[in-house]
Amino acid sequence: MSTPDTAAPPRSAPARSAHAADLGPILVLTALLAAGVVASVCVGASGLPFARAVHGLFVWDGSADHALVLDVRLPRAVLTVLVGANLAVAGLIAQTLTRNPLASPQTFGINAGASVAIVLVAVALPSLGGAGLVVPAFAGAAAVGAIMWFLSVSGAVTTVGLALAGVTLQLVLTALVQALLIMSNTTQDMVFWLAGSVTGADWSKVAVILPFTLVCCAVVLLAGRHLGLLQLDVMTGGSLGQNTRRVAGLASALVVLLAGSAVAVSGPVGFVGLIVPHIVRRLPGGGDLRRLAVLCMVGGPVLLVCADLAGRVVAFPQELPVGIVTALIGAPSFVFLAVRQRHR
Amino acid sequence: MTPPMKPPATPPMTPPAAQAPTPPTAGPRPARILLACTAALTLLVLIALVSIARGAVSLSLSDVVDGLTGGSNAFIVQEYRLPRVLVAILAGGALAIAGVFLQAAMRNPLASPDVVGLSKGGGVGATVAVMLASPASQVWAVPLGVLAGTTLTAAALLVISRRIGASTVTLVLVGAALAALAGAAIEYLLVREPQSADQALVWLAGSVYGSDRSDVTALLVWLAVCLPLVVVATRAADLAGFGDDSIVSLGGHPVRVRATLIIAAVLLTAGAVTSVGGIGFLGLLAPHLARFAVGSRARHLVPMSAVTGALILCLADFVGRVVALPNEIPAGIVAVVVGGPYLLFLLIRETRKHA
Repeated sequence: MSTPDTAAPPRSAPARSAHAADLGPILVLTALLAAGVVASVCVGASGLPFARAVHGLFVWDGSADHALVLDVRLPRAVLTVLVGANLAVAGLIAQTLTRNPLASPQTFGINAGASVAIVLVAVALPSLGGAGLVVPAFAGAAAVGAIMWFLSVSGAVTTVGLALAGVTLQLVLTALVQALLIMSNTTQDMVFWLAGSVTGADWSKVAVILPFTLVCCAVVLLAGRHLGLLQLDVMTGGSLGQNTRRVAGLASALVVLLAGSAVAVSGPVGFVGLIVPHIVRRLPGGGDLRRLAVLCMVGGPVLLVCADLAGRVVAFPQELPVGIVTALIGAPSFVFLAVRQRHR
Repeated sequence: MTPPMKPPATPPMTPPAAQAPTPPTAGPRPARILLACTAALTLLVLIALVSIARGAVSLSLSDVVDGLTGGSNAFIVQEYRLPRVLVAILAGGALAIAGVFLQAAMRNPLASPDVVGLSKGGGVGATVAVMLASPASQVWAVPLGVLAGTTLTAAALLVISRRIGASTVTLVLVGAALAALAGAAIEYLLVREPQSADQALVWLAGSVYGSDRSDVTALLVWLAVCLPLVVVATRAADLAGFGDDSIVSLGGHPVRVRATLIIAAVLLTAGAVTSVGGIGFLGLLAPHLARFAVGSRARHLVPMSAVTGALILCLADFVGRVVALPNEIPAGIVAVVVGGPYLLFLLIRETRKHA
């Protein structure tokens, strides 16, 4: 009798070690995320020691600590996690779909499209708030997504040119948002939101984004095998038996839903969707799309939670919108990626 | 006996296809150039008059003419409307010329002070100056800050593009990223000092709102100081359309030629940004429109661009003033909404050319 080890086909040993390497980065990122969330709950205008934070979370005694943790800090942390996951996964899928390493909800102007629609609706129908803003966000994101999709498919511009087209669209749409705000005299309230911010998070916002995060992430994991084939060109995908058009449609819908719902609750937070997929691709382990997606679901929140923490600490007692922090990190990485793109 | 020296066998250098402004060709006939210039100037005068006439108090054209010469409406016309129009004309012209020079120096049709981030860099400098300097010293601190900001941005852009040998589109993308970085820096400063945010936001979007006589004088003096350099740079602009080797063979000094152009562009941009803030895409749009009319020879293109730029900024300011009464939309926003799609168009055309 041979032991299972010797009897096993030779492929299983590397497969198993690859499996271990697969899990490693995920576990590390999850630990980082947990630490980040704890820090996010504990750090703020009034610092909470860890023990008091836990006490406030689990002992419902109506104390100030309890109210602070449950109504202010925790929803903010949860919202940050969800927005980070949404944007990172949306960026990953956009990059896979367009086979363009510079793609992301922000660089393609999809975030800005959602913002314009939201501001338009907020100005025209001020009574509509919260969940009502999700629908216009999707409409705006989808409209810009369609333009970029057309530019990309028609081959009208190159890889780098597509990113430039997206940035241009973003500038134009941002200018439109500013014009709308000035016309309606609501500059004060919206400026902070426009930079991308999770300030003023509450459970209702979490409720707005949570269903989209859960459903879209589940779909990504279930359909990951098909979505991964989008990295190949249309011909190869078709010859492998894929209904390329249908899968591409699904991927586009996912990007719009993920990015749109994120913008609806937190404003256009930039660069998370761009850089997180690139970071997780460099982690050890295979490049399978489902695995990358899981890494993005954990890695995006890590980045955004850290950025939010930095924004709260750096400019104390003021708060820096998290979008500014991500832009300060993200813009140089964007240059780096664009330059590397040229060298290929 | 030494063998006779062979003539150097270097083949004639052809400029690469990516070059932006086509080297001067025969171009349109002089009559057409004259016609285009006259038409643009007439249009500019008309728009300036209409722009002076329209506002919270509407004046008739005869009122305006009357006010210009010191009649009953002299106060409104001479203290409010006229300075505003003059600043728009000067700043628009300066940004457009800066666009011509940058496009020539970088041989890139997509370059312009706003697209490559110079204006935003100047904005950072101005914001820093406003926050650091005492209110009394801001008169000179802000222009200095803008100048430092634009110069640093230009330097960063040149270093990066030299290091990577950037292509037409990549260079602009790097500029856009620099602009995003500068934008984030500005927002950071604004959040830290929220009390100055409101005014700064309007200025940063690019607006000729609240220009007065001293602004006109300051900008005029600055541009007059720049004028000799602009003349020199205009002479260099045609040469810069060629590749470095051709410049050498034509007896020029490539680095000196491009440096002249870029320094002139930086100075002009700094002046314009100080007085009106960043007007997006104006420096891109105006040279291209002017090139349609008068061709790409610099001594025609530069004046025509200046008139076109002045025209666009006046028009943008006028539209921004009347479209959303009683509010005013900064001219820069109007310019971006018009100019952005034009950049997209150029981008697609640029790709087609290479395909």
